[in-house]
Amino acid sequence: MYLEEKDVDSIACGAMFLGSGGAGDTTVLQIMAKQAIHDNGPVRLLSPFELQDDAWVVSMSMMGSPAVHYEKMMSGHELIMALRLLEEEKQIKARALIALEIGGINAITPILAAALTGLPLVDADGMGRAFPECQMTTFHAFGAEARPFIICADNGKCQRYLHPSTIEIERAARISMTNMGGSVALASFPMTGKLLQEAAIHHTFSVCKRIGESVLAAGSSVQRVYSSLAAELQNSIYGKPCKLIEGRIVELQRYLQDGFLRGELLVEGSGFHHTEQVEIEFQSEYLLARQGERIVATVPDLICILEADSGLPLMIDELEKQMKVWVIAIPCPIILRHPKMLDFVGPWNFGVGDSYVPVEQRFSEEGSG
Amino acid sequence: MLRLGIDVSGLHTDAVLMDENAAIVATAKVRTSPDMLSGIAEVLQAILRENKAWSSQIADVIIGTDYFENALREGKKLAKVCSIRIGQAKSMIPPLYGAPVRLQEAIGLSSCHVYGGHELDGSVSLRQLTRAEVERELRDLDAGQAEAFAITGTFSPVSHAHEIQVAEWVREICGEERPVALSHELGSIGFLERENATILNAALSKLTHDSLSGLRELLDRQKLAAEIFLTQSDGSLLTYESALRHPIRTFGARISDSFRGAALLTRMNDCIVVDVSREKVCVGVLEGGFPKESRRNQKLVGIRLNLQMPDTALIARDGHEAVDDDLLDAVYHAIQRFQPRFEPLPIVFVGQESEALAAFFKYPWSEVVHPPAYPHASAIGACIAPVSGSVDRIYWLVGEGKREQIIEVAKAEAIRSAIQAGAVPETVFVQSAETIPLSYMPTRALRMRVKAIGQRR
Repeated sequence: MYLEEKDVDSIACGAMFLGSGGAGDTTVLQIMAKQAIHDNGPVRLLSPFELQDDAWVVSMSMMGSPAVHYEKMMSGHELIMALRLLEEEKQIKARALIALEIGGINAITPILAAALTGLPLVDADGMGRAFPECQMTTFHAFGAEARPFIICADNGKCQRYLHPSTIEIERAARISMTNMGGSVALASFPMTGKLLQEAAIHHTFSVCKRIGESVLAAGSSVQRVYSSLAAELQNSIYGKPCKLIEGRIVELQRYLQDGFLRGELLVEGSGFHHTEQVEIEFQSEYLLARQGERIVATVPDLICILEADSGLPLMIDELEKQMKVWVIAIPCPIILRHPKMLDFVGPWNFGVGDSYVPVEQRFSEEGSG
Repeated sequence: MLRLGIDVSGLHTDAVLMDENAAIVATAKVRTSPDMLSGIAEVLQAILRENKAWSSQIADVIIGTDYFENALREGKKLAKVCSIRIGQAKSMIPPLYGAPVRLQEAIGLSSCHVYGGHELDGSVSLRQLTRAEVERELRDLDAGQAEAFAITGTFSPVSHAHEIQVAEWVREICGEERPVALSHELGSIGFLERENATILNAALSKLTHDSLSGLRELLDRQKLAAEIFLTQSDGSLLTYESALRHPIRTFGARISDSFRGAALLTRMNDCIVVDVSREKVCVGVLEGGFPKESRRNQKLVGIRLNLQMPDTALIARDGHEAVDDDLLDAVYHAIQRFQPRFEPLPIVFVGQESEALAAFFKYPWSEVVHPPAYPHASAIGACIAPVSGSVDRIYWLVGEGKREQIIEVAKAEAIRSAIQAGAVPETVFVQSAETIPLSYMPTRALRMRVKAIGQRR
């Protein structure tokens, strides 16, 4: 399968849902990726099973603050430079690229990199959604090393990390990334095809594209968006989404805690959900939804807030009091519920709750009484 | 002391004369002229015909118009623009991305990139700005074709040093006479949106000069010593000098004027306003006497911008004059979007064509008001336009517990800028203050958006 210009728009739309409120607005990269495909031709999308066992694949992404990314115009060359430095350091030649995360901006980054280098893109990623840190990937949990981990800034400055611990690298890179301007291109997690088949979440690009296509075709009606989303998701590695509430945002708090955007909001139900309330906590992404005392959904399951006017997902920085919204939860791919993954993405890693119960299970409990 | 508000729409030029107690003294209405100015002259004469003595009593003439917005939509009388980007990397995204071909052609955009720009903390970026590069780029472009320049530098809202430096060089290299628009005066963080605003502003420079520069002379001929203002997107005053330099700031002004006019006519500071014209119905909400602003970026003819425009729901009428169930239904839903959770707000209908719609509209949960002076709401809003000062910047938290202090600094800055714009210090208050932390980055940077409002005289 090949990704053409219009597919970039579909994937960007799907990635807004999989971003779960974070991971940034794709607009700038979307334009760049379309421009690159326009100039260099479509990007080949490879199923993980089409890869040779010994073929090297490198993960491409952006790291840093989306707000800085909207201001610093990148050339695209930063990505190529990061990739070449990684290849040089590890003495390999990349045969294909892969996404680190399929949510928000980083669903588009590897498409741009692939279009610029002419390499194929593997239909898979390491998060199945958006997460804030590099160790929160199946790559890390299932045996791939992040190193050599190369970041390149718009001004041509690059930095390499060769530490064996992904967590150490994440910590060090996030600090120097800030000193390098706050938004950098990242090449990391070189993997062979064989390892990738075990350590990546398969076919997330196809799913993301299908979500985007069906949502864009649904027009701006939240009911239609939700039902087409449900139709695409229930037969995928995700699962049937659950509608938690429809109503209005009546309270909203955002604050800076330890340098991160945290906060909570309260949605008061209307219509069928009259008299209900759902409280949502977030840090970079939506993390937890609570109905009164009862937790109804937590990370790693995806929580999305859809704007009732358009059916499109709202990012945390777009939220406003009085907005009419639907809150939905999407079951995450099962691989994220593996104990090895929950060690890094279970709710306790984000300081919200100490156990994880899948959202569909919480929901069926509700149904039975 | 009198104030004259003039609302110039595509069809009519409507003037309202008000005394210091905000009572309407006189009104007049004529057809809008293609050059805008002769329509204004005509309506002014009509007002002064009633009483010659008014010419010495009118202190302010305030014009609210969508003339420049419409010129862009139509792609008419636009200047050829040369856009200069200052940054660390040459982006592959062409300037004015997404603009319709007709507008692209009208603006005949040429563009170049020079190294330079700033970082998030305001420091100078690694790849240095040099005059030699600016000279070379301008020569390669044959910048002589351009009628105006637009300069956008990375993080110029944090530090504008490089934009000002490049502007100076451009004037030295290409001469003083061509207008230069600088992005830090026109927008906040978000390079593409700010660049778009700067290019459009530069493109409007010719038309602005043609239509507005004769205004002072026109008033002089009528023996009016009044000060001239326009209204800007949020409904506050824009000095004549700033309007000549920043016409893009008038975008959305007529709607804000209309909403504020509705507030005065009904003496209600919190209400939903439905502005009805022949082409469209526009619904929005007043909070404390001011239109609620949209947080999301707007698009104008397909171009992304980040202006402080009122948050509105638009219903196009496409020339259908009849009020049918579909329209009533659409208006009802638009109103519901703005109604708060408890105690629904009263609804005010204003605008030239609001009569039929207001008569047919039934709303069970709150009062529906249609003030008698409804056709003049926009001109009235222009008459009572306040002075505003705003700040949208990135601040750095140094040490612990300094957040509150930063907020105070930003507030003081907004208040100062309102006073500089002509507000009476005792009347200035902070209307909104918002802190926006940056995500995915362990930093002490905090974006602050503050707006202060005051009364003029």
